[in-house]
Amino acid sequence: MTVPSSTSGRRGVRASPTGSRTAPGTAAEWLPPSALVGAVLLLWQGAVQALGVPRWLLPSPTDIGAALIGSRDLLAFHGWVTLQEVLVGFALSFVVGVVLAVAIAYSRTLERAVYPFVIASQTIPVVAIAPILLIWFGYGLLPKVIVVALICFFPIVVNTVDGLRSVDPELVKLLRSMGASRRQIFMKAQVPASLPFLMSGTKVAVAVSVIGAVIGEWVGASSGLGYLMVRSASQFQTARVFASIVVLSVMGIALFQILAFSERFVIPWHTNGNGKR
Amino acid sequence: MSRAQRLDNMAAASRLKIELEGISVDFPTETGPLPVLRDVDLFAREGEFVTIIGPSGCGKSTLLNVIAGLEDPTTGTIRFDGRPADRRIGTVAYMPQKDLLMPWRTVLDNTILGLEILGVPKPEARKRAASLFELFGLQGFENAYPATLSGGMRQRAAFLRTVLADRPIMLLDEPFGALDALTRSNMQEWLLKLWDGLRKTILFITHDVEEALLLSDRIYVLTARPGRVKLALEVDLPRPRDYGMVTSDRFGRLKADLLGSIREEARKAMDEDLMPLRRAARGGGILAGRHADAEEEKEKAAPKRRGI
Repeated sequence: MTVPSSTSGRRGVRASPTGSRTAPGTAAEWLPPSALVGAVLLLWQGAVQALGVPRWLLPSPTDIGAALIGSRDLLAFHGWVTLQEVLVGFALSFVVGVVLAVAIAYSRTLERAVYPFVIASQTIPVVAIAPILLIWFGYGLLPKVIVVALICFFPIVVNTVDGLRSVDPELVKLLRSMGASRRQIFMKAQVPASLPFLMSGTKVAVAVSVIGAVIGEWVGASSGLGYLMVRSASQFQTARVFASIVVLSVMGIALFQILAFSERFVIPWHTNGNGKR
Repeated sequence: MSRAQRLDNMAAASRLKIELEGISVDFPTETGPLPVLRDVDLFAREGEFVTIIGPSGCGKSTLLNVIAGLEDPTTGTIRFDGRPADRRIGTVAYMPQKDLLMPWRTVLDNTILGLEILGVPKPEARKRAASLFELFGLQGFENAYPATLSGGMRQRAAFLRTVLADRPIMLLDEPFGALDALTRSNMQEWLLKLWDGLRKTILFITHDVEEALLLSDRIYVLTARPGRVKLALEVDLPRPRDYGMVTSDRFGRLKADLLGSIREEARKAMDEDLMPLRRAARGGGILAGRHADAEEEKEKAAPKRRGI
């Protein structure tokens, strides 16, 4: 058998590199969650009306909808403040997290020195640190940014360290046999291998980042959605509290989705259909 | 071909490309040094296909590491082109058992890895690689990710990466070990044809006796640990070879010689592996009472069976 014929026979049956998953945006994708959300909202609306629950105790979905529209300027203003805290804090945690991860993966000595502190930082409740940050840095943006960064950096560090170490030792051996330097091994093998892990870490981080911002604002703030929630609750404006929660959760989901979408460009080999072995 | 050229070629063919002389390797362990290789002598002439075969755990991988420069021998000398080669890293192209294609690189970018590390600019390296894709049966898959390739294609891509590294000596560590029998025989024939054109010196490691005979000019059989050269067999089958030869008488005789030598070693290796178990059994450690007796019975019977 000649070489070309043995290979061309196989070529015909191989799948194309772009995969064949259910495309996002199809009815099968969005129908089940929408139906469930719709059903819950209907049940909620019906129960509140039928039982005559007072508005300050549990507002109906339409009440919350009205608050969303009625307080849209207020929600937009405070939402923007919170979003800034989230974005700056997340960016800070990303930079610090990646730098720490590289240091930890690069040197065993640094790992022994730094890793215990990284883990210890997660055992102290953020709620306990937030008031101290308030004393140190005042009511401004900075203490919230720090709280967000504190919450976010842990999943980024842990995942990135695992990723940098996930390289097959045989591949490192191969690169060394080619005469690669330690830097080349790092750039050509460890960094790309760590990217899927890094993306997982950032997705977890961004999902909890919103929580960090709200905790920071609860402790002491003059603006932000957390502040708006506390103020509205004290005035029994329960519908507005719920409206703030809706805005917060939409913010978190949107940030998560942006990252999930960006994976197609950052780690295409990992997301394109049958890319997983 | 002129007479002068022919003489030139003959001179090249008899030139020693790689020589190992008295190579011994010990691994340090808590209970003292563990001998892995003992006084290994072997050589390959320019353009020869030389195979190393032996029972598992005979130190084949260590031998490759030593040749590739990833490890240094405890004693012994290695010469490339007649000169002692103390810094060997980067002078041989090494193809490990696993294809080790980087999942994040396209097939094309995987194949240029060796050139990249040599400092060849990427566009130039890509051009060189792309021109060989058809020969390697990879045309049309330049921009695909390795995950979309079949086992045989992955292995050919890894092999192209090795060839492109452009070193005079290639070390191939069981490159077809993970392939199914049919793909494997196709790949063997394909490698024969390719090697005919490349005329590079190849050191090949395998478990497969037929594969070794079909491909090689010379076969070294290593003993069980510590690995020594037990047999150096010149394979005088005519070239070009093809899979049809496997059934010829001459092939059969060579195969019988080779198999006899290897099976003796494989048995020794297995006995060695079972020794601690037996000792533990006698001491009542792992297997107590009845089981230990049974184990001893078996051991007494073993030499008789071996004699048959």
